[in-house]
Amino acid sequence: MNLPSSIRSILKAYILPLVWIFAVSLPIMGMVRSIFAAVFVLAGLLVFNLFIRKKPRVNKPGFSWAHTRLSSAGRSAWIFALAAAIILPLFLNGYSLDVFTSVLFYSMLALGLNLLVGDLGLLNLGYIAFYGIGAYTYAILSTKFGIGFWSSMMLGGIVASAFSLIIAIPTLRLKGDYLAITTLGFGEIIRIVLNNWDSLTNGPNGIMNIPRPSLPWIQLSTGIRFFYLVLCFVIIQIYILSRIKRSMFGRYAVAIRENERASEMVAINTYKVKTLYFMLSAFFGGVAGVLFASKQMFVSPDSFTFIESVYVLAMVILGGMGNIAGVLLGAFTLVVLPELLREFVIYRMLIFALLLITMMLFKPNGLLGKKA
Amino acid sequence: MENSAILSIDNVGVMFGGLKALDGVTIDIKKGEVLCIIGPNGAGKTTLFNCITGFLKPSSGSILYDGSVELTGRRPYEIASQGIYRSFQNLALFANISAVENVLIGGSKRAEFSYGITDAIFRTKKFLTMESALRQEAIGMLEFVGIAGKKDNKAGELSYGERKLLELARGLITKPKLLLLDEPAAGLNPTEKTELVLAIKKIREQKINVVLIEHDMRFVSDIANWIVVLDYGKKLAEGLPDDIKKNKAVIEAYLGTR
Ligand SMILES: Nc1ncnc2c1ncn2[C@@H]1O[C@H](COP(=O)(O)OP(=O)(O)O)[C@@H](O)[C@H]1O
Ligand SMILES: [Mg+2]
Repeated sequence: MNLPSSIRSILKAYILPLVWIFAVSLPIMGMVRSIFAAVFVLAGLLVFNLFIRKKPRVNKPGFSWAHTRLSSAGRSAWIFALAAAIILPLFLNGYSLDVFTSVLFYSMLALGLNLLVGDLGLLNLGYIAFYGIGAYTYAILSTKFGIGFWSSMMLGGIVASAFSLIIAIPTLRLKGDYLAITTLGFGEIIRIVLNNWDSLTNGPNGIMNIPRPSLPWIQLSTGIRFFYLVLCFVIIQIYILSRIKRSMFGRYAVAIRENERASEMVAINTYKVKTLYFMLSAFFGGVAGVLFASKQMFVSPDSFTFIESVYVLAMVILGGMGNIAGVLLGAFTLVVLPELLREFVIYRMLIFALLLITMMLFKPNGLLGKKA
Repeated sequence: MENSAILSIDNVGVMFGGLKALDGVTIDIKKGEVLCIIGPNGAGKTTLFNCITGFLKPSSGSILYDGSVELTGRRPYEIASQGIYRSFQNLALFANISAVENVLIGGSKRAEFSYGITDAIFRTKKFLTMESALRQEAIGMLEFVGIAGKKDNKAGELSYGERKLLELARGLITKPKLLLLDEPAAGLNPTEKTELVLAIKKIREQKINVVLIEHDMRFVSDIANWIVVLDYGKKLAEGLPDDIKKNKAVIEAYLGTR
């Protein structure tokens, strides 16, 4: 390694984005906040490079997906995170608990979206639509037909899956920009329909008096009980996703992301795998939506705007695509950080846009998923 | 040697704009023979492979597999599931994952290794036995082509020759009946070439039909039973290796006016 080339790579990886973001945000945000934004993005890049982006991997002998065991460091990190998630809420006030419940909701969404963006390398800019479809499915079923929470749970996922076919089937041959635009359009159409179909969705006023879930022996009405309910769902989702990832179904996705022609040549039906991933991804979004509606006891189209899709996408990208722990970290960071730096909330959208653009400029392989 | 054809390419034509990349090409590939397609650059050899494997739909003609299955108009994965595997001239590997994982993916679609999504989620016994059997076989394939020592290296990190061999191993684990190799020897050093010749001879003994595109005449006459010469999208000649070497038209196409 000669010095000039490593200096050049540091320059390219960190200094350039820093200067660039600073220059872009200066006229809009002023000096102090621009420095803040640049530092925030730099921190994000550093975290990404140091902890999340996989180093060139030297596989241990005997490695295969199906038989991978976590390293002891990895396992203790998971156990620690789980213990924190169980114990910490006992000491939190109502407001903080709300923030952490929000982390869980966004974790479900980011994990669901990661199936497409991270595992398959397909960009979806309308993912929040499935969250909305799940939420409205429960809202309508419970208030109009008196169907309970637990049956609506499955139905919310299934309805979202069914809707995902509308977008999956015609877009299977599309990639990159085209897919992004089509999914963006889909997300907007769903929101507009929710906004205008007054007889079914009550339009912009939304649907109120959605019942909370209940178990025969516990009322899930308090904040902390609800937190644990959502936590259970997140854990189940992580379990299912990590098992799928380490099976041949996960291998199909890796194969398609890596080389579509070669996948077809080893008899993988790439359209079918993509469709199944679209459906699974939507299913998790729908289930999260049902939970969300039952927590808020109210839904309106405002919760399902384009910026929410971008928000979830930013979590997937920031955290490290295709990497479950990274995605959880991304969700955690992007929910908690704005709360800690409240003055940033106004600039949230701007920062995310900058983040996304920076990633695309400097980590183009990241977005198209060239990682193992 | 049996006489029935594994592949009957009948009057296949492909147009790219005004260019006739293939022009009424008819080839019968008999079971058990190693057929070699030669011809100058741009003759249409790769285009012919693309037609057979469904990456291109010919504008005319038909391709009949195993006497009964029409291949034109099908998607590549359907053709692959019929037992046809093809290597690519410029390689098509899963570059960011290990060599053995590349081969594992190749075998995943075989019926004896297939399990359901619930088997995967609950790690049933079926899942575990099939996964380890598949892995065993994948390592076996890497041993067969002679790169087992590199099984845990990323495919993208292997040398050019090793990558070609890896692509072959990934194909062999699919248990193909017909193997199409697009310039397998190009870019190999002499030792690797000798190994490849040995591997192809062993493959032939397993009753796998081999069709290859190649330039190196010495390599070709070593393994091919039958040679087809393409030039400007047309079949210029076909015959035994020794006859083709003496064929005037062929010598002209290669050494003549260009
Ligand atoms: N996808 C394509 N679009 C347009 N022209 C093509 C395409 N593929 C191949 N060709 C042209 O068709 C001819 C045959 O190409 P190819 O089959 O790759 O030749 P070979 O493999 O014999 O060297 C060449 O002139 C090439 O430029
Ligand atoms: Mg070629």
